[in-house]
Amino acid sequence: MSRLFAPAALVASLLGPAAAFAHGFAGAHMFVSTLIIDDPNVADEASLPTFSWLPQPNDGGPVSNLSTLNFEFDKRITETLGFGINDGYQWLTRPGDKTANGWQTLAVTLKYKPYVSAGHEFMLSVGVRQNFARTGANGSNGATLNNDDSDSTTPLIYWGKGFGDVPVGWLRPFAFTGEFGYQIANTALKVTGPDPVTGLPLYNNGTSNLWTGGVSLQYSIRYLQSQVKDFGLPQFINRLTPLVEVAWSSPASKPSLASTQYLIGAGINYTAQSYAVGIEALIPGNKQTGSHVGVIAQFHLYFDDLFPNSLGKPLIRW
Amino acid sequence: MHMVRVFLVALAALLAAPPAFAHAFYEHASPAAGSEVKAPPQAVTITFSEAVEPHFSKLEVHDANGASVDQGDVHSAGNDGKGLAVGLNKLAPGKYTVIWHVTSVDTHKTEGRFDFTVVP
Repeated sequence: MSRLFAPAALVASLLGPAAAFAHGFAGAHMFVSTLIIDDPNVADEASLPTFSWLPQPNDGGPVSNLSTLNFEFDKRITETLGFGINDGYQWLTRPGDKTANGWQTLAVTLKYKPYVSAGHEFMLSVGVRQNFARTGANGSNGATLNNDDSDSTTPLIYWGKGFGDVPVGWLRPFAFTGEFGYQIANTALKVTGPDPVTGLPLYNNGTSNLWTGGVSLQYSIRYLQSQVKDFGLPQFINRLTPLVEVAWSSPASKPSLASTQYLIGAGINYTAQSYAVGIEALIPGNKQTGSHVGVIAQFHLYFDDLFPNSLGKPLIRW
Repeated sequence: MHMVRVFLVALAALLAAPPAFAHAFYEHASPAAGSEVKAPPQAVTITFSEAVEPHFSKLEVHDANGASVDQGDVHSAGNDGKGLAVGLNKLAPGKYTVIWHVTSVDTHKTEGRFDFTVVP
């Protein structure tokens, strides 16, 4: 008979609905949609969908695989204030075992972009993300999928910096974006006593606090072509942006059942007028994120270009 | 399965919607970004990916000292509304910087700058 299983350290926390994806301009630089971290912009757009597949850390048996299908919708309330809704479905499979599958935890992010410097190609935003526990799979199935059993709130800071003010021409198409946050558990993880059989500690249904964040380094061919040197490249090439991302989380309170995780994404983004496609190899950054390469891909829609007079404009002109 | 079909139909409808409005990106220019030209150009012309509004757009050319060398007559170029041009004074050999801010017909704003060089 097949059974549910619990992998040693599921990486779902770095691929879950917490990420929101967008693009934005700071002067001449456009920050493209990133796949495993959020970007600093507030926009009207959607990721429909983001698919990922990543072999999980091996606990000695056959390697399990986590597949996710995520959806994200971002809406501007004013020009600089917006919210994002993220959720997704996931499947955890391992040869000989029953597949664990179910919805992830719903996440809603409120983001405010107070500062943009066009001349320095710099953008700064702040936000707060709320994870709503038990909105996805829960019980033993949810635990197997690493869904938290209690809510959490995460204040965040986001930034994007283009290298346009660097004097070396070929360096100017680079951009550096990132996010940094502190995830606060609404119910703190506590030891409730020893297991009468094993003697190991038993815990309540809380979670520990986490440091969380990530960075991306992007190289815009469009920027190179239009701002530095027009090589007469085909339009398809002009729309490409190679990029590398690193997502990270680390426990920030004790006791904790979490571990420090690093996940790297390396790939390419194709940005057209009203949509973007991104694909990256997912590379474990430490043993807590596994030892096998996975993949993530995203189809992204820009509503401000598709529907500038309806869905693509802020709800309020402020 | 029904949900998948609904999603695919909705996606097809979104993609079928003509992207008539969008941000205007640099497509090509004369003189081109980063180029060297022997004959001093009489104008700078930029072709964008979308039609732009000349009255709500800016196209300036400066020499290496920051002095303006354009004639201030920003106007459309071509028949599709995607071109923007400005006349130039007689240019001496040297490096020049083109600065542009454009508003596409759906009011999206984009901007950029590039250099070109007039060689002796």
